[in-house]
Amino acid sequence: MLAPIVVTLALLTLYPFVANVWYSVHAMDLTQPFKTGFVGLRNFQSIVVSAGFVKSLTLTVIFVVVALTLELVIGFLVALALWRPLRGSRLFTTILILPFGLTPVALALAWRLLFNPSGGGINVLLASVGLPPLDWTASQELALPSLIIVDIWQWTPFVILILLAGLVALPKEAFEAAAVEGAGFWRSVYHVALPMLRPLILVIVLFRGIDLFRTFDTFWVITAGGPGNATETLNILLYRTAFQNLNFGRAAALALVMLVIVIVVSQPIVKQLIAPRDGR
Amino acid sequence: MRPRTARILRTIFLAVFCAVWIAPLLYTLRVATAAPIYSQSGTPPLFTEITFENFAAVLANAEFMTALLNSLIIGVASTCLVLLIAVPAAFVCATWEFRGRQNLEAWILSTRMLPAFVVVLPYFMFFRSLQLLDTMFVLIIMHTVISLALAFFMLRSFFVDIPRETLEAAQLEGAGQIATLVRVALPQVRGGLIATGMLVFIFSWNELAFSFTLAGGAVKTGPVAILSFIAFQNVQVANLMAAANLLIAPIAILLIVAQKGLIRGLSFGAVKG
Repeated sequence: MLAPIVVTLALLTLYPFVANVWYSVHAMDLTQPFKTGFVGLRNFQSIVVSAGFVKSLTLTVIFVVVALTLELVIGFLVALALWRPLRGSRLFTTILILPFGLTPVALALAWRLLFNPSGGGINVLLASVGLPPLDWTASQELALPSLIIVDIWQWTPFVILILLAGLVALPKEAFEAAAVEGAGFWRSVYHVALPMLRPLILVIVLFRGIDLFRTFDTFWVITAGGPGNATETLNILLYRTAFQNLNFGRAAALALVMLVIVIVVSQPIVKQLIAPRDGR
Repeated sequence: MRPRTARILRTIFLAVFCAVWIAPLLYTLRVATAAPIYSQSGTPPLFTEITFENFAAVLANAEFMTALLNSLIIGVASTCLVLLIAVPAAFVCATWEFRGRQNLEAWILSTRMLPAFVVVLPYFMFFRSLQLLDTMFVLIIMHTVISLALAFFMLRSFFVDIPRETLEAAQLEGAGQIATLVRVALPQVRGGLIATGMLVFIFSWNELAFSFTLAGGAVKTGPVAILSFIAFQNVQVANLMAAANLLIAPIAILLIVAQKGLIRGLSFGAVKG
């Protein structure tokens, strides 16, 4: 009964990996179909040394770290507010699933419109309270923060719901013991709830971190890496290298570099998650 | 702080959060139901009359409706394939201990970490050489592949909850693994199976990177088709938002129905939701 999944996994992971390695050491520029052949590590050299790569890596790191931190902080505060039963909290959770469940392209189009410097919803709102309009996605400085705002909007609800499920499942006794010792709400959250939620927070950091690292839809629809290359994360750089410059050799090299980054960064978290469990 | 005060503060905090979070969705509805004359300036006045002519225009757009139909076909087909592959595997991993089980699960989980384009490049070349680019077949296969890990771990979390005795009883009566799965296990996880199926469908419907690079000419899915709306100059934003709303409407319904399963699936069974 395992045969189908093993075959699919092999096709999904082994074949692309081997093929990527093969492309990465060959000249595979689709605009120059007759210039093929083994080039050693030249693709890696040209991609890693390029200024675009360093800029993309920096942008990606900023995007992942800032968005993840804010999503965890906001998510935890809202989860705390929802923790004890409250009227209407069911309706609230229903609203929360929409941002991360609905089609990202459609939502990104909505945000593109909201950020529009002339007549977009956000600037209209700013004007109505007497603030000057901003250029949002059209400016070098605000483009990445704008995309961070979109991701926070989209994915904080997911963090809320995961943390809320974790909070609800915590044993009551631990908090009663803390209350007996005279600990207030915030103290017991810090000393009791947070340590107990640690595995769950690691799960969020792992999955969210990886997803942020490979976010494509939102970037592509809202800025397409622009203005200029102000929001050209590694994933967008990869797309542009492969499907706009049609240089598959170089793109494959970049893909492998990204894969190594994901593995190296996620390894410590995966180890911590797997270690204390006994299999189930 | 008195409990009553705390409750009021919590309610206010949550209400504000909720209002801010729902605003972008309401904004799309407002633009979509505004008269097209406002569409050049981007934002229509808040209180202006509601019209459905933008929706009518999108519904009459054959290209977009074909794309939605494509999305539906690809979604249903890939959901069936995912379940066919993931159900037996999840069942075996959840109920039997065997050598290499942890390695297999780690392998499945690792597929979740690949950036999409790592997979796209080789498959682009592969399907190009088979002249299969821009076909429904390619997208059905790729959409199957992207949801496999999610479906596996979600189903596994449901199978783990089945009491072992019922499975052992079936085995004592001489039922094989497949018979045990079909006759004893599946009826007990029916809700979980449906939730998993809905989630896999949602993922297929929402997918962009593969649909965009491996197809997008002759075969467009909903998200790809809506992007071709903005490729033209002079975008009718009211129409665009109407199309966006039509694209997300079926998913909104599925999400509300499959609410609990969604959290379970997205956390890979780590949170029972």
